[in-house]
Amino acid sequence: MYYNRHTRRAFLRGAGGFMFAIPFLPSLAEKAYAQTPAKNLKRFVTFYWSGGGGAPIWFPNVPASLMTTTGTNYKAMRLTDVLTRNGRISDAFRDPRFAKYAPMLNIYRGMDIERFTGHNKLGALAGESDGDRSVDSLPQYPSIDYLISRSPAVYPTEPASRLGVLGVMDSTNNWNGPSISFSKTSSGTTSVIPPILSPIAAYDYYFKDFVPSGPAGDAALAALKARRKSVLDTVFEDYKRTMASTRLASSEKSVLSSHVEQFRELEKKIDNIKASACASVPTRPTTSLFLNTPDMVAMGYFKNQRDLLPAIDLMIEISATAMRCQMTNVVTIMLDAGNCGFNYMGIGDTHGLSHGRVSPDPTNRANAMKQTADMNNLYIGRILNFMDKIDIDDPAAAGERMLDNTLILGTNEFGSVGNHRSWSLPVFTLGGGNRVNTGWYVDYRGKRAISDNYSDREIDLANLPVEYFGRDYNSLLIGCMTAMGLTPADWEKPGVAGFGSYQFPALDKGWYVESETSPAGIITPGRRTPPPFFLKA
Amino acid sequence: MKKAILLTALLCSACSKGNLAFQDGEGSLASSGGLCVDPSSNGSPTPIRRLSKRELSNTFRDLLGTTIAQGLADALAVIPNDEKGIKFDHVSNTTNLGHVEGLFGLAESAANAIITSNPSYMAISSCLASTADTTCMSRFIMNFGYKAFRRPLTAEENGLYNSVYASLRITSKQEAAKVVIAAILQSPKFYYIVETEGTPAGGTALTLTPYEVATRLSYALTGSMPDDTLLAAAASGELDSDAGLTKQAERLIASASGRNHFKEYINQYLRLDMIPQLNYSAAFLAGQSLTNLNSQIVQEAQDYMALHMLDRPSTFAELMTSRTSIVKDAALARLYGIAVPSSPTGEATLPPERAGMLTRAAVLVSGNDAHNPFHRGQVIATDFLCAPIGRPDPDAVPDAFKTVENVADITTRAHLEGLTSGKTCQGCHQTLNNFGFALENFDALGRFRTMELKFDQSGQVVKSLPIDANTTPTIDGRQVGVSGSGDLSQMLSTSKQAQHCFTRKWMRFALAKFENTAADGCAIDAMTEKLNQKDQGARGMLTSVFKRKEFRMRVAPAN
Repeated sequence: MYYNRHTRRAFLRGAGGFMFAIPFLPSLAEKAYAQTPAKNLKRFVTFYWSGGGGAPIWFPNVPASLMTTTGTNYKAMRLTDVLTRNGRISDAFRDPRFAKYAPMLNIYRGMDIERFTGHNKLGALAGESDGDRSVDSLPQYPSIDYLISRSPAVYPTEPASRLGVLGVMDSTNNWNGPSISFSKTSSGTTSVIPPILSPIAAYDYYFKDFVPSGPAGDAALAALKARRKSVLDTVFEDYKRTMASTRLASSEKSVLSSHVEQFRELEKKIDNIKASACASVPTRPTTSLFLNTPDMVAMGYFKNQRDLLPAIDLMIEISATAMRCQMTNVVTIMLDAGNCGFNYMGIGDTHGLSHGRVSPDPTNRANAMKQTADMNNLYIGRILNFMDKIDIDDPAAAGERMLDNTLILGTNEFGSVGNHRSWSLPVFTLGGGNRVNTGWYVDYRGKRAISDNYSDREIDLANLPVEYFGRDYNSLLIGCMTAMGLTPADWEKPGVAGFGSYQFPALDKGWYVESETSPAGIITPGRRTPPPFFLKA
Repeated sequence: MKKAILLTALLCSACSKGNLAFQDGEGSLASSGGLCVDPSSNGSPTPIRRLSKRELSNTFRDLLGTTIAQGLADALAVIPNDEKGIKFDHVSNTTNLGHVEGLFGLAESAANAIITSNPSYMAISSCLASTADTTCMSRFIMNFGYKAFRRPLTAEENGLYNSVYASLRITSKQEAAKVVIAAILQSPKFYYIVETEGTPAGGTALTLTPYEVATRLSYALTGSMPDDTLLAAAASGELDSDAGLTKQAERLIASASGRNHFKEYINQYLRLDMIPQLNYSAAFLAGQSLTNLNSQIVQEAQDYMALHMLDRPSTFAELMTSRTSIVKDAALARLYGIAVPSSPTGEATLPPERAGMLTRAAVLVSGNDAHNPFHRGQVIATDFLCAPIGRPDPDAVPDAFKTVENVADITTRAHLEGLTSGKTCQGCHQTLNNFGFALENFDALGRFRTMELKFDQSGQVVKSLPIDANTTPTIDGRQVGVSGSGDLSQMLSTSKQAQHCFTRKWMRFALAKFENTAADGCAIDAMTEKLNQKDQGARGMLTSVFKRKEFRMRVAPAN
């Protein structure tokens, strides 16, 4: 299935020229989608950035009366209808390519991290609501990109790369540590997966071992594998001899032993180097553009702010190529200008803008909103570039399009209400139409106001609309994993239902109440199941 | 202010759990007297450790040369960064797949670069082209291995690498050489500091070999492998004597890499990397320029410490109270209320209120209009007393807050004191507030002030409130009355806990392990004594660690 194919209903509504001519009925739309049997997806891509979104410029501006509430207490409207009505989806989603991509886009409102306020990088993929106090600690669960990359549903055979974590980011913006991705160690704890911050390093990560298929490639491949195995064998022998020393304590031998344990992974990787499905790959970049040099860290800036966008473009070209060439199915890209921004384009840093959006000065506030919209539009445009590059027939599924089998998650650290709030995250998905209902603005918010105990002065001050509680954001993470063919056994801990850790103890006092639970309810159901309507039946 | 309130919320909650403080390092925090309990101790255990990413980078540079090392920057970037903090980035590090895989790629890239670029100092191409390549490679392995392992290779090691080359050269000499080089660069003797070759000295203690001493000394003072001179000193027996060791230590401290490494120590000690970007309103700045100020604040902190710890024998008391600093920039000079110094070194005498390290902008600056007394209090507890307050547990947020009325009409201190006046908060905030509020005479940018200005939304000053910097902190187990930063600095300068803390930080950095006062107490006492001696001071303290018998010993961890 390909997204540009309009449903019969959308066609009728468009042809009629009256957006209200046929009332929106999600049940019908769901039925239309259900005609195509749902298939688990093959690829998962995450784009992340910080600073929130700013509700007025992020979400479509449509009256509630045009959105239909379903029996499961959410409202929805087709994004093609939003486009028809408003001429753009929103200030952030204003790229003209949404004329093509709107049917593949979902914008979710009311996806909440159950936390009062603050930075929350650990929440993006690892489902942690711990926030600032985890600046230098780890989440309790590995991130979903890692879990997806370990699944045989996604990789029936060993790929060249299970997961690439790339970043074009100001690493000094350590509000919550250096990464949104975390692996799981053999002892069950989590470990940060640091992003590759240089396009050259990213290129080498994917393509250093590139050999085209054919006899010449086969010979080169054999030589490469032989050399690496010889290195590994020699180093292994060296470690064995060192560990035999009686002068090392057992704890020290364990240190070396855990090093040696990793050789197994390396060996597997060497075994799995394959001739590429592609005849060629892009040229290796000639400059690192952005490197995390010590002097730069001390300065707190990128080496050159104007390198940011070219670096993003390179990262996108590299990762999209790796996906097209079937070298990988899971990529995470962090686009986080953090404390830097794009001053030369009139866009300040994301963190500063998040505060600016609640400035008591209406002029400052409007300016911050505009810059936030520009920043988000800039990033979303880059994601559409990625879409353009994988808008091809799926090389792994005859007769299907790659975009239909690829789920792209755009996510953020905190909510899109003005400032550092953790509800209504600016989150969206693109693609994945073979398993996900797409093309919708879905509003999961209920009617419950924020608890009086947590009266939001900043929102009041900025005169922004209050965001009501919606649904647990982790339900979306579970939805993504489910769409990729994972089951609860893949993400749950023994005896613990659901995914993610909500340690914010006030939760136990019931301060957060999901939109459809009783006032006294605790929101565990949201942690266990995908949000309604997300998945095709 | 919002940030300050948020911080209050987070910090308050820690107190609700009684999780008041955790020990920085192991052992007691003697508040008075000495720490020495066992003069016969060989020191605390020194477990095997891997090189940190920073050390690995330096070592590749010094082993392979700058040109090749620069070409490896991208391969190095893939290796995970090490966490910094009270433990420094090279202490107690774990190893995961990212390190192992990253090193594998880095070593492979290095081997390729050596074979491809054929640097003259390695002469590898002519070696491989020779008909006597096996003999020649044997020499290469011996020389390259000597530098990489920081000692001569054992016969067994020589045998391993020579046999690998011999078995693979039949297919390709170049491929064989690449395998050998890549294997050496991933050896545990390269990537880890392995000290197992010494002489038994009772229990699990070994007296280190001269090469192991050289390695310790070099990583302590330059963050890198021993240079040729130091290896030669190890080979000649020069390092066996305290005089020989001191001579080499002084040489390394004075070298460019030693100086850079010292700056790295200060960076990590005072967490200068974490100084936020400066983002102030125009009304608050009142004409103060921010141009280059971030970097100048960092540089001044480094220069101040280098001046007093390396260039002159300042005692701890002088370090904590000196008004002599290095100011090279107009914006920083204005911040300190002085003219730009005319001397080429930038040496300047700061105003009376700028006595000692606590009053440096690097300690005071918050990054935005709201100053942060709690952060300041935490810095003093962590960096100057080795008694950081534990991370908050937000269980009590926001119930622990006390309501404060009319916040627009009172000082920040009064507001924050009110908020944290509850019993739940006081467990931590009694400490934090008493240290932090002693610095109230400095605003959020570190400028001296006697009044706190309150602005309205348009940036107009609507109130001017007198500063109160009188507090009653507990120092060396005794509650004392303090009036402002000068008083506090003076108190800390004579505090045994502060002096010990200063010594312990250096010991931890130099020996790359957490100190334990039960085993290291005598060394800490002796080093602290140097710190307080007029003719020795901080410089004497720095080098005294190398003269201790513990420096020449390795005690293995208990099984």
